Amino acid sequence: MDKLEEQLKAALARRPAPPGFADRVTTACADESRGAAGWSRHRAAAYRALAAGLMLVFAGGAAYRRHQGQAAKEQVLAAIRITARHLNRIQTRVREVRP
Amino acid sequence: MRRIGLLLAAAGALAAQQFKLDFERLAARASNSVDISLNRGTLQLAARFLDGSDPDEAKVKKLVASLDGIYIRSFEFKREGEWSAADLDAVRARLKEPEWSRIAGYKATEDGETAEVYLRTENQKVTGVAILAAGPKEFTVVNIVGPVDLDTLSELSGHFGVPALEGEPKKK
Repeated sequence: MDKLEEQLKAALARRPAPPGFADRVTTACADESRGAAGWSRHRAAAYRALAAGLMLVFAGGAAYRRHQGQAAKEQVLAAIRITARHLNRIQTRVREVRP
Repeated sequence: MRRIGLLLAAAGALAAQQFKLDFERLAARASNSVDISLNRGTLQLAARFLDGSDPDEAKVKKLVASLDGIYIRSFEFKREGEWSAADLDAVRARLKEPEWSRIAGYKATEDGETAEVYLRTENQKVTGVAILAAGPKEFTVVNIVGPVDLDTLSELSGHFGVPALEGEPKKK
């Protein structure tokens, strides 16, 4: 029993840390912290780029639809102009011969 | 795939038109030509961009809201005699009764102008209008598909650069 106690004491005895151990731990912790922050920054930048890209796509789509709509409107007005001009001419001619 | 899409779109446009317009020969001789093909989707898109608060645009908006299509081929020539009576007859041949009926027309021999208006009816409802107009240096065919309101169309006289009817005050 005494022998066991002695073995335990020896195993659990306080020993000084090896030289440079504290520095190595501090450096490792700092590296890990920097890595996490860096990844977080990268992720935020990726989200911002994605949001900007989506905004560009939506804005581009809206501008394209607006352009298409304006072009369609101009075509409709041109078609109405041509049609009304000919109808107008026919009506005028028919009125000329009818009292 | 894209080619098939284009073919289907072209087939759709032809199906929407009430008679086929094929004027390759005239197009080759024309100095200026206008080719307008507006199907229902394009008309509805255009209607969304017409200003309902503007009296003129509001009329056009109301007019096109119920239409299924507007198809126009118009040619201008530098010289006279570029189109023939056969070209007119080819169009007239497609505007036959009972679907189509000629409602107005004139022929002025002194200036060589001729114009005709045809109405397409189904079950006593107007489903289309065709206008055939030709002058010495001009040839135009218009096909408006759908329930056309001719009164609204003629009300546009004096607007959008269309001269007002003679003897009629310019409408505002």
